[in-house]
Amino acid sequence: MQTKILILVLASMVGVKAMAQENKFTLGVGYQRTWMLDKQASPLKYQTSEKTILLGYDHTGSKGIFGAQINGALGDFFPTGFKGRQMYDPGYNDDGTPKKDSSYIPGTLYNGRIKISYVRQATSGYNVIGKEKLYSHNYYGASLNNQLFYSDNIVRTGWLNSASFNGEYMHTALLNTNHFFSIKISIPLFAENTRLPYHNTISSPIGESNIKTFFREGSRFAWFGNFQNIQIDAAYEYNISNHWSMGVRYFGQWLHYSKEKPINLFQNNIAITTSLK
Amino acid sequence: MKKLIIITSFTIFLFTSCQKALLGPVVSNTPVNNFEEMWKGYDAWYGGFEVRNINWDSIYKNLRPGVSNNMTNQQLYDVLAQMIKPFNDIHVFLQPTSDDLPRYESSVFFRNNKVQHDFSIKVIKENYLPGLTTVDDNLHYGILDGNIGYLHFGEFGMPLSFYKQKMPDIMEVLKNTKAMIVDIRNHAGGDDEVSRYVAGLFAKNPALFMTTRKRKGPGRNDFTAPDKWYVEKQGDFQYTNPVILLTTRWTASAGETFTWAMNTQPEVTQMGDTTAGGFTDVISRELPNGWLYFVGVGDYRDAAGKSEEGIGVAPGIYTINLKSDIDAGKDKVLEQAIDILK
Repeated sequence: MQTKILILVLASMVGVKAMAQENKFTLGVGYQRTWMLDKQASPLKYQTSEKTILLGYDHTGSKGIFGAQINGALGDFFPTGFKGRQMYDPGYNDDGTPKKDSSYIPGTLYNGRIKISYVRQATSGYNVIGKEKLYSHNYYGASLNNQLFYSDNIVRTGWLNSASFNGEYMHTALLNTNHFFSIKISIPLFAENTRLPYHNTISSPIGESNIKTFFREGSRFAWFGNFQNIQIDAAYEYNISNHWSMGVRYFGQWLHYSKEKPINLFQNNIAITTSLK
Repeated sequence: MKKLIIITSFTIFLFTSCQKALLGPVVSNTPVNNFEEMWKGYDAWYGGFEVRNINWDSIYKNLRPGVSNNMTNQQLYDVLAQMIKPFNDIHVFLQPTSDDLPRYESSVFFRNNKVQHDFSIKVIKENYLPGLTTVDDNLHYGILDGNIGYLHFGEFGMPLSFYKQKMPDIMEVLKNTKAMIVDIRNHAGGDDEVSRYVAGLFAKNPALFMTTRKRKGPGRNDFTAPDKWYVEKQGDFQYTNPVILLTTRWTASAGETFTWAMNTQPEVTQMGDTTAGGFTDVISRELPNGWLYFVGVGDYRDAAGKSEEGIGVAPGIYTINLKSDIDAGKDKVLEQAIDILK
């Protein structure tokens, strides 16, 4: 037992030493599905199919990892089961007969996310699997995250901006220097959330812009008691060379916020990534 | 390593397959639920129960027994129409999205008058102002005989920035006219911020023209604190020569808040017919069957604190066109305004 502890201690020292400083730039393109139930806007569940893009930077230091990431997504946004919904022309011809034409009711969801994080290594380990070496590390830290959801659909579903301070946990594993795995979990501790006011309209009697009015009237402090937003980020990368890797990344989040009326959101994203180091 | 892959895969699987549980229950699409949702939607968001004297609970009691899950869409439509008929509000209507069912207007005026026959911009262009400049379908201007300016707004539906970009040049052209006709006889509404801005181009004196409050909670008397709206001088100069503002029963919503704003200025005379009587901001909401319904969320008052919901803004000079006048190419209201300003 004591020998095993000694090996682990030595291995962790090796592991720390093995954690060379590294800068990594990542580009990813992907596909995302979002489901949303925004009771302030509608009793209908909404869904999207979105194309996404990701730009990331990670600096791995001797004791921790600094990360910055920008994500963008947009796609059709419609109530589940009503994608082809038509709006019948409410007008009348000159002779008083109702017009018969109709048009598709459009909707697009725009979603952006920006995040900076720092996680500090807490523990590390070293295993041998067959002839291959596995280095693993656990990190704890924090992040600042801002995400924006905006839709142009007729009922204004899903307008939300959330600027949050989050606790972060990350686990990484490097197998035989070629295969890199990571999983990160992020949970907001408190946030400044902005939604439309209860009446779902924006107008300013003092000539302020709509964006300014939206943030002035709709922002509230939120905390874990009324705002939950668990985010999971899991990635696999294969090192093609010392400086280049390719991989896949999964991102999922669940969001619940109860002001003014509850909004629940669930999102899955899968992306193909390429990284330069 | 194997453990990491298993835990990660299981977490992702759990996350991806629990969409329904994570989102919460969704109201199912039945006629009863559609009825309930629409009644509750107005109950939670409509701002005019008091000013329009609507007994919303009695409407529920009268109609609910006749609703069942065996109803057809046509039958449901008929019941929902009965639900909103008492509002008689241009901002309360039902817009089905299936079965070719038409929009149902709670406004008696819009139900009985399908097409406007007392105004035509085409008649004005052909018979009174051939030099009329068209900025877009809802913005025209020119100079009539006798050096009288003419400015027409069909709505305030573009962003405020559009008007801030276009109006300075337009006002520059009309600057040296001896008087002006501002024509909003077919004004369908839009943005109150545009009403405020455009009225400011005519402002001799800053003035309060409106207070607004909007629903802020599920109680029927849950309103925001009142917001005060002022006309303030806008633009590099203000047009303060005599102005006649032309209105009709089709002048609605932001067209009416614009009427309030213009009527604060001493050089403006409102002429024509009383406006539509629907001032507030309106939102659209949905039913479980995908139909849309529209709800006015505010309680808007004039500068004296009086609500004109369901009443409209009465003109200082009453005059109307008949359909036969317009069909004959005659705009007698315009002619009368020109005579007054000459």
